[in-house]
Amino acid sequence: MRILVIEDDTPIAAMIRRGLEQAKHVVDHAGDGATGLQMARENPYALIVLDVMLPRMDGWRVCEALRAGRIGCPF
Amino acid sequence: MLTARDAIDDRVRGLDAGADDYLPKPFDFAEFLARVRALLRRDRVHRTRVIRVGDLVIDTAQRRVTRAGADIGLSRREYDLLEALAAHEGQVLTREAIQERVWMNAEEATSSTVDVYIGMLRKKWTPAMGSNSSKPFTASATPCAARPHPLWMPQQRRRRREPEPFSLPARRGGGSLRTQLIAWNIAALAVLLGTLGVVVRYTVSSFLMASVNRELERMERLPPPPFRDRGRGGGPPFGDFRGGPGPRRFRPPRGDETLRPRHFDLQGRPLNPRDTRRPWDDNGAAFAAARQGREHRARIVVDGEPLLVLSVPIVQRGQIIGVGQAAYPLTDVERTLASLDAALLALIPVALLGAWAGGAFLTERVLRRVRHATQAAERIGVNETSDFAARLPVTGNDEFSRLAETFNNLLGRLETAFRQQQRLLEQQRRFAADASHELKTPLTVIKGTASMALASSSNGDSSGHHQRSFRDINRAADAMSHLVGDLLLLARSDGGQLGRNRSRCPCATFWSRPSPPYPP
Repeated sequence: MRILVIEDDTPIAAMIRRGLEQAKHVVDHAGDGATGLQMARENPYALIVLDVMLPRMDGWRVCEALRAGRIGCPF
Repeated sequence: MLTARDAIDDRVRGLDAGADDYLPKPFDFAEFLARVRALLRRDRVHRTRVIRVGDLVIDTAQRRVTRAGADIGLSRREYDLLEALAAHEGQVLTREAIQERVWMNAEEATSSTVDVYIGMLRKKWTPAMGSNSSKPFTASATPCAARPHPLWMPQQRRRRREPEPFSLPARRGGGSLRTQLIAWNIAALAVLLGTLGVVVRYTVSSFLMASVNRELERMERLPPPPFRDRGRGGGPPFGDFRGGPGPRRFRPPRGDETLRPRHFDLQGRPLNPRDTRRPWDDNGAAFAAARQGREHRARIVVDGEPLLVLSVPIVQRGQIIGVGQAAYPLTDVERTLASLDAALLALIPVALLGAWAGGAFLTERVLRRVRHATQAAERIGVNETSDFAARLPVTGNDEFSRLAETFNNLLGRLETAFRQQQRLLEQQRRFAADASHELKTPLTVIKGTASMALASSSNGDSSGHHQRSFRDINRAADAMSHLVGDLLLLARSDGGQLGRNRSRCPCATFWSRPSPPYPP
């Protein structure tokens, strides 16, 4: 499964990436909300892991934009 | 969604924004992976069928809900909840059953969480169906009484748990200041009028009786008409008649000749042989007093008319030879006193009634300002809707105005203190939130890395992975140590334990300190 991790905290992102890769998933990482939203629109992800406090665009707005864009994957 | 915000409101906001799951930091990495697996699995399973309940259509493949063709946008959790309810049409689901089916982790989802989602689902349901739609998810008092769309009534239960709103203490009945003032006013005036009535009655009565007595004494001082001394020849009678000559001739009231003074010997016979009148009888008390040389006054009734009779001894040559009597009718006096009594008895209640009306009017005028002040104070209140910026009305320059000004000054100081307290609390909350957030990041790393290390250890992979894990744990511990040290420094500074030392230094020193020492 291809999973997108939107997390600005580098150690946490690295930890999540390592754990998901151990579970045989393919992980993409975005360090801010706007970049993560763009990546979610351009790529078909099976799951999105989203932080709330993000630079440029916080998690609430990313969440609303994902739902408004009818991106059906769970996050 | 991953966040350090773990308050219920934050969770609800995240889920309401469309998130399918919400995991607060620090989290257990094994749980995180389990949730990822569950989300992926559920997504695959739910893409397989369509549930129909009446005109409600739930497309589990697209996770889309419509009713009568109208699309209802639901969040992931709302959709799961609705799907669970629709899958058990006609049944009553307990909170625990819903928690197991929708949240799976019963510890995370409390009963209040279920209530919140039912409320959100109902809000989205009603606008979609318009005003003619029946209210969904109605409650049943007994779990066995199933409804077309089963559930309980979470809103009603929540309403029972809500704290009672602030209210002022109930007023005690019958004890208002206005009633007390009027009662005291009437009571004081009643005592005053009663005392005044008694004094007036006594004064008028004394004055009238004194006039009567003076008239009687004047009558007695008049010399009797000449007559012959019975059995002892001529000579001036009553040569030393007590009182001497009076200033004028007595004329009996009403022209009644029967009231002219009478003179008798000690046996009750008239000294004037031509006088046929008899003494005014009061059972011989007048003659007994005369024999002892004393005057005597008595009220007697003659032919239904009250008379005041004055009896004085007649002394001749040092001897008491008889009794002289003069009478004055008391009819007018007693009628006057009776009229006065009636007037007093009538005037006192009227005066009390007037006192009540006047007291009510005056107290109303006075207490109106007190009432306005009380209403303003109640608007200010002490609950969460308190308006500390409100002030009591100040008009004039009387005692109430000074009291209102004093109270307003007190409110001003209270408002200032309240604002300061609010700012301090807000700063404390923000500080605690920031500190909590900063601490949760290394904690999350520690927990997650440790759990991954344990998992890999159980799988037999313990070489390079363990080294990376322990390095991350060590860095996270260093970050926590720095944060805790900074927090202690701030606490000491707030406590005034640090001396103030002003010096110039580069801001970069402070920008870099809170950042965890992780490589970018």
